[in-house]
Amino acid sequence: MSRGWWRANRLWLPLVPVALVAMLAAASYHVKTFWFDDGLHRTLVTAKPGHVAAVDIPYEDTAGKTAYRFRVRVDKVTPTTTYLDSLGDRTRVQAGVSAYRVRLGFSADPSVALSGCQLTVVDAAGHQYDVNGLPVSQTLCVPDGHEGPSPALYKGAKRGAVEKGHQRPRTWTTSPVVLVPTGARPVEVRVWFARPDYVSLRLPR
Amino acid sequence: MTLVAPSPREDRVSVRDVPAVLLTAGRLIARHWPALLALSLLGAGIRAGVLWAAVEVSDSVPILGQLILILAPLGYLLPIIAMLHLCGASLPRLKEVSAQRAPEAVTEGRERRLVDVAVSVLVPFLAVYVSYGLLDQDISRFRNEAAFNEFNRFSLLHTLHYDYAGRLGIYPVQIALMIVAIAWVLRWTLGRIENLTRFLLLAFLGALVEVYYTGQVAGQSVQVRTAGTNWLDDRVAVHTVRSTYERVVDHLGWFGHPVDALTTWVLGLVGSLDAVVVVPIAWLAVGAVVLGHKLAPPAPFEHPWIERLTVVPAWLRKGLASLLSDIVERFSAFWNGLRLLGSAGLLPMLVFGLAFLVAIRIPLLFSEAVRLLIGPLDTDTWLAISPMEAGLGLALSMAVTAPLLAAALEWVLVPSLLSEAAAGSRSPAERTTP
Repeated sequence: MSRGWWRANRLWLPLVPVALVAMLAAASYHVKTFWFDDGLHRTLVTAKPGHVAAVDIPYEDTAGKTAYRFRVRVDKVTPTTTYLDSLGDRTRVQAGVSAYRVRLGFSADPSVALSGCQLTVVDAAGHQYDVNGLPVSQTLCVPDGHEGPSPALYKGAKRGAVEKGHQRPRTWTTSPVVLVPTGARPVEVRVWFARPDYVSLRLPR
Repeated sequence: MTLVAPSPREDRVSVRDVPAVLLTAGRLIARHWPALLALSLLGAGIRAGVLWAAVEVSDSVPILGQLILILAPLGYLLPIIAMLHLCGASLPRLKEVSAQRAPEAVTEGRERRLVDVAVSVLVPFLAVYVSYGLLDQDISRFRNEAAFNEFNRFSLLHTLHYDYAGRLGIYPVQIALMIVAIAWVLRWTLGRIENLTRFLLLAFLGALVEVYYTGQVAGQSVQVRTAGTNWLDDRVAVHTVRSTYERVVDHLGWFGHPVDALTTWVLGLVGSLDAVVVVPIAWLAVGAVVLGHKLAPPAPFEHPWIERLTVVPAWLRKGLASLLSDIVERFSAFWNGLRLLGSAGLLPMLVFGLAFLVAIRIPLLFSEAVRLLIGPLDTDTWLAISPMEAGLGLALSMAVTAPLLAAALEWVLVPSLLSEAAAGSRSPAERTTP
């Protein structure tokens, strides 16, 4: 490159990265829908290992404004050799797969709807493993048979209506099992209701 | 500062000049790549941003959304024009052409500028834009986004009013023709006002009017082609030919396979005719207008057949003649460009067509390269970044197309232009149409 070349391009060269960034920004209209809103990308609360996360996620159902308001903590994560499969049968873990039982301690007002809750486990490499809750998805975050109220899902529905005998206690624990490839070490549990928001519970190293 | 290029023979250009064109294009890229990249990236950004804005705006003001959408091709055309000027300034013969003085514009009454003959650039450019499938892409992407946006407002909380047709702006042909007529009159009126007020910005407003109506017509052509293809597919005759062909191929047994392969190959070749022939010629026409518009003859003031319409009042005849001169002038650079291409000979142009094929395929090659580099992706993640990848591919393709075009013009068109001007031994500005 001669000196003439540098002189002729001295204004254009710095413009190249600026134009590149401008172009990428203008072409980013799918990033929110297909990436950000499509995964767990916004941490609402982070709790250090053994600490309690106080969660308050506002949302709106057909009955009006409300919130997922609860406290959660990871009690312990223990390896296990059996789990309930998607049909509800107790199954042995296959070769190449490791299973971990994640015991979570919750506390919440019995009138708070928590039934739509989901769990995801993250390993040291950053891979995410959804906890397969079927057919017992209700039991990921709420006690089986005592799920408590559901959000109001249609016009005229009442939030907080619970059948007699199915009221949720003020404190409870759940123990879902997560399957990961052998060698993957869980470092974080994410509790979430709707992507991209999640509550991050760190696990001891 | 100009690139030193060996002088082409004064007579017609031959296929043997092709390596020289490629070499010149390579030198242009080496000299100007930062400017070429910056301009083409900005252009690709404009195209993507316009689309985004059109979707957002169409939510509240549908007609404004469509007006914005029409600007998307400008994200391609404006950087190409800028890059052509940039490259042209480095090439001795193109430099000589752009130093010429253009004739006076009939309506505006000042030296004719490129913006006055915008439609002459737009016609061949939109031919390229349609052939590349970019217009189709703009329209369908806008429709997809807008329809998704409309649909995605679904909510348990509110009852919604959907309005797909209003947002998507689909006009029948009659309305498109009316748009063209109104645009012609509007463009002429703007020129008259500019003549009185000397306000140059009106010329750019007029050029936008031309962008709008040519975009509408190009959109119509895409729809007509789609509708035509569907109509053909439904015809009994087409069905009969197809089924007869299939029966014959079946009947031929083992020989049927090579026959079928040959037929598919020939049909594919015919199908890609627009990529191989139309696209390079249209590109050269774009370049000829952008860099050679000053050499187009001035439009005639006299229109004998209008003069003969004695039933029409004289003032209206005068107005009609002025409008007609205006329209003829705006297309003059385009006809002039086509004439020049014709005089340059078909064979070298077809060979340049092959070189352009590489430029056309750059987005595809880039996409493959990205795939190799970043490996497999989740479909949704790919969808999130695919507009960026498409924008980068388009920008690279633009940055190669412009210097290739400038080099081809320098070698193919300008020699015949200059020899023509010399033969006339008059300055091109003084030439009039026979």
